[in-house]
Amino acid sequence: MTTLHVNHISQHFGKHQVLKDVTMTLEPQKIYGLLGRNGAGKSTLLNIITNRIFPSSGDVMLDNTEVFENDDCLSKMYLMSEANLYAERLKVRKIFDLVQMSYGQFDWPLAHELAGKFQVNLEERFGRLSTGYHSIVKLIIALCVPADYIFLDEPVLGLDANHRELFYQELLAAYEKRPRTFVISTHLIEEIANLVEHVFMIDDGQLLADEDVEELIARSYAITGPRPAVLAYTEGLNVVGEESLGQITTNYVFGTLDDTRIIPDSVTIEHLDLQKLFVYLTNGRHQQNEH
Amino acid sequence: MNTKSNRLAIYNFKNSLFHLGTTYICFFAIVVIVPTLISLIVSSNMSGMTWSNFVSELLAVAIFYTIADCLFFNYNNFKLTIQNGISRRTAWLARVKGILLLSLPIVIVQGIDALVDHGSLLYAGLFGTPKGAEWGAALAFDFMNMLSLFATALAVGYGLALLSKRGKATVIIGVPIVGLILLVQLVKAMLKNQEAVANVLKAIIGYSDKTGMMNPLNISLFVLVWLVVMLLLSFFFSSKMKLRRD
Repeated sequence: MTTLHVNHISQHFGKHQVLKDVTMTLEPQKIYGLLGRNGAGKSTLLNIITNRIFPSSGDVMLDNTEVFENDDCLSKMYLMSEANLYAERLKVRKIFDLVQMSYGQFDWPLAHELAGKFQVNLEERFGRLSTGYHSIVKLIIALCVPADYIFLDEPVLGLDANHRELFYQELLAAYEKRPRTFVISTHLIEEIANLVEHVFMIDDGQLLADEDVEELIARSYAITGPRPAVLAYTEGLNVVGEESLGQITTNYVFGTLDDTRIIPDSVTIEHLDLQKLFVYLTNGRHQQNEH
Repeated sequence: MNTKSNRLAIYNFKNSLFHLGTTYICFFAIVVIVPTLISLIVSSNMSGMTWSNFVSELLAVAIFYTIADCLFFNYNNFKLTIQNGISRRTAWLARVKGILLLSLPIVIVQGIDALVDHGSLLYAGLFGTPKGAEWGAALAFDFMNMLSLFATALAVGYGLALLSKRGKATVIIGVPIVGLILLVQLVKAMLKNQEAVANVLKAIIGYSDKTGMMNPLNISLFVLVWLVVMLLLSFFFSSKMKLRRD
């Protein structure tokens, strides 16, 4: 069992700093969510991990071995990205052959099964497929390749609701059959909230959160009630967002509540879902930056 | 790494053969079929079909195809290999091995063609009266020449692959203009220093004023050094490859 360490990765594109000292650890056989707003640096980070681009500083290690230009390490990883790196003239079957040739193995029975379920014609040329089917072909490869670390960057791009649902089912089935590490980077947070065990939130190139989903949700609260009561109860707490509708106000708090404070009868406290928490955490930071 | 690069080299070789086959079909259509049809339509005979030097033409097509492959398909190759967990080093090694595999039949066919047409191998005269060993040396020299030509194209190709579309366009337009200016200056300089230039060239080809003979060792060493430098340059450029956003 190997552990992937991302150590102090920073990346500049000219004067623009895309990643700032990102450090994270990916354990074997776990499903991670990589969340961030557009331009937060998620794709750049995944491209660096899989040796597609070079970091300005920092390194990526698989246990004690540096991943950079290491074929053994690279063959343990697969990145399904938005960018289509397969030749458009190649037939889908030929692409699968090529993957098998490169990785040494390929789960052909599963590939045929998934191609049937997603209605992919293996004799079709990759370039003739729609955006959705490009994603599907790459997803089939991601589930059939014998790598231990699978990175999925916007995996459901262009997929209709039925295909997205089918993909999530197949992802779980593949994970149950052969547990491995999946890192899912997506904007559709609600859809993956029940799949992922742990999340990394990146905002403006920095790691904002690196926590198990359960713990994260357990520390996030929506406190709703009449405005004066809510403001009094949340005073001094880490309020990351606020919404008002008429006389009713909701304050979103991230962190521990003060147990010594008495909760007013007019106030209700609920936990946030992952998407709401993400929105308020990242919005809060941007508003702070603007001020 | 070797197993992976061997598998990839064979894949590259098969791919090149497929594309070369397609190029041959196009070539055959343009050079043979179309002129024959025109000939048939215009004069009702088949004088448009020219079979003379056909093997030489096929060889020229193979050489030009390989040069084009070395020049223009490095970034596509990089995309495919990096997507499939293959390092730049292994991809480069596989590419060189693939080109080596492709050069071998070209050189062999070229040798056979030269033997059939002229009764001797290309460069055979350079190595003395052609006997067994001399013919081997001539074939090896031809092979090395071919490889250094392809290695030069590979180095230029990998260099171009590092550039963005705009950068590539600038280089493709700018380099011939700058090259032409430099060439004119070079010719001028050479005309001024004819003796020195002649001495350098003589040293490269190993020409002796006393015997009026060439020493094949000099030119062989020059080609070998050129080959190694070009391979190192292509390796250096390939190690700098990264995904572009254009």
